[in-house]
Amino acid sequence: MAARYDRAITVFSPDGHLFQVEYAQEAVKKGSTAVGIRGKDIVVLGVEKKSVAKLQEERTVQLLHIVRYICLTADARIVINRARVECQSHRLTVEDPVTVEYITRYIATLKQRYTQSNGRRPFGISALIVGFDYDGTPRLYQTDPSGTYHAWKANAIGRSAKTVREFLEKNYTEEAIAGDNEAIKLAIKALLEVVQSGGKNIELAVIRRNQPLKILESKEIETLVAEIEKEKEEEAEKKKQKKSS
Amino acid sequence: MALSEVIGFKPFSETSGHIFGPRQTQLVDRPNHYSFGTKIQEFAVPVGEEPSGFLKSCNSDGGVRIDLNHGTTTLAFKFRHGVIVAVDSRASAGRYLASNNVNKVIEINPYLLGTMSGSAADCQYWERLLAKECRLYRLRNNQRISVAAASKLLCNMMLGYRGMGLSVGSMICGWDKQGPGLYYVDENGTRLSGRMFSTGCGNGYAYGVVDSGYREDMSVEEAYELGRRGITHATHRDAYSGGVVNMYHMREDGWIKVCKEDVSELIHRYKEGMF
Repeated sequence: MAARYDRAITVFSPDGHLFQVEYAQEAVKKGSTAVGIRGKDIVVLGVEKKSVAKLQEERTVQLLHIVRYICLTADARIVINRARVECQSHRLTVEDPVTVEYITRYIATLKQRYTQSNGRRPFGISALIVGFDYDGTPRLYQTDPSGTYHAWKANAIGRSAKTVREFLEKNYTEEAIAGDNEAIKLAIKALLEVVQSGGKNIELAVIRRNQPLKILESKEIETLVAEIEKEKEEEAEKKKQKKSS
Repeated sequence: MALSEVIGFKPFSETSGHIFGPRQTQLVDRPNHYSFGTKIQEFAVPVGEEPSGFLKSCNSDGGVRIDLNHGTTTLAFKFRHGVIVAVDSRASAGRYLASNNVNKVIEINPYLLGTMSGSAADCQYWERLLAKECRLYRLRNNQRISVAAASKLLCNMMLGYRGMGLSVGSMICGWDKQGPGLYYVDENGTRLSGRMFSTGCGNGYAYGVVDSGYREDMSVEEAYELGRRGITHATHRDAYSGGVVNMYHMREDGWIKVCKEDVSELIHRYKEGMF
């Protein structure tokens, strides 16, 4: 049944699915995991670094300024280019930087247009967009290939996104994001749930209010991972002592 | 279609390009991009004729005289307690007085005002269009448009038709997050931010009065009086300005209409003993 309604993007199936869009969402699930967390004065984006082939230069992969896209990096580059132009165009006409919601809406509208034209396929990307509005409010938005967008306090996309999201639902509390470091550690902890070999495969970017984007060095990540391990051990110790006493 | 975009094939627009002239009509709704640039126009330009040349021939002797509504005095200045906007209300077509009771201030929204001078038709049309764009901005972005952005939209509209004979001298006044705002926009695409502007053929007289009486720390009543005087004296000396003084005060919580007073009564008040 699906076979007859999934070739063209502009055809609904009898039970109301747009199969091409759903397949695009499947493509997203194949990408590496990314997590976004909105703290009080900081927003954090973390990704699972794919292991790079020996001869490949490392920097051409992964984190792209301010926005994190999952899966088809080629599609992502197109969308990012348009988003950058729109940001500058907005600054030119309105004399104010874009709000995070505005640019998310623009990207979502762009993606939706590609789900309603013939001769094109949807963008195979989900995006986590983080930033601060010019009045200082931190924001985190997520878009998906169908062109919808939502605001989140914390979210994950890509492979094993469900596991990470469940972890975040359990552990995203007011105290967990009380300080900048805590928010960063929460992101790392969330990623460690699904990333194989620990801190080496994690890449992190943070934006603090009124400061530019900062990509953490691997040394800093190693330090934080070590702290998290220590805290875990201390927790385990405490539990043991409670049990024995 | 995507393929036609890739190879640059434009079947329809080629033919309509010949019919409509260099700029094409395209009613495209672009929800997130301000379309008031040089690409998309609101309506087509008539083919063959060059508008500014046509207008020149209307005004010179020997040709048919079509005098458009021109002539006015408007002024606006910022002071400690906001922005004062004062305009006259006369519309003249050459030597014929079309109306003495024209509204030259367009109330875009409770926080934005636009004044009109130059060609009445041009001003009314383009500023109403600006009001529509401001309303759409408010609906799409959930926040009021800033004065800078509103004046920029009008300025881009003017630039789209530059050289085609538009005559618009407008001041956009408002109060937004950055405080009181005052911008002057004209048909050449000039856009200036400033503390005081006066436009129209009576502007010289108005400048004289307001420049000599202006103090930044004026009280509200003094500012009202200054605005009234500026327009009154300009209407007294300039034949193309007159009627009533319409005055608005832009405050932090929006604008209020201060007064609508006949200049013939005001001039007697100010020039006691001279008549």
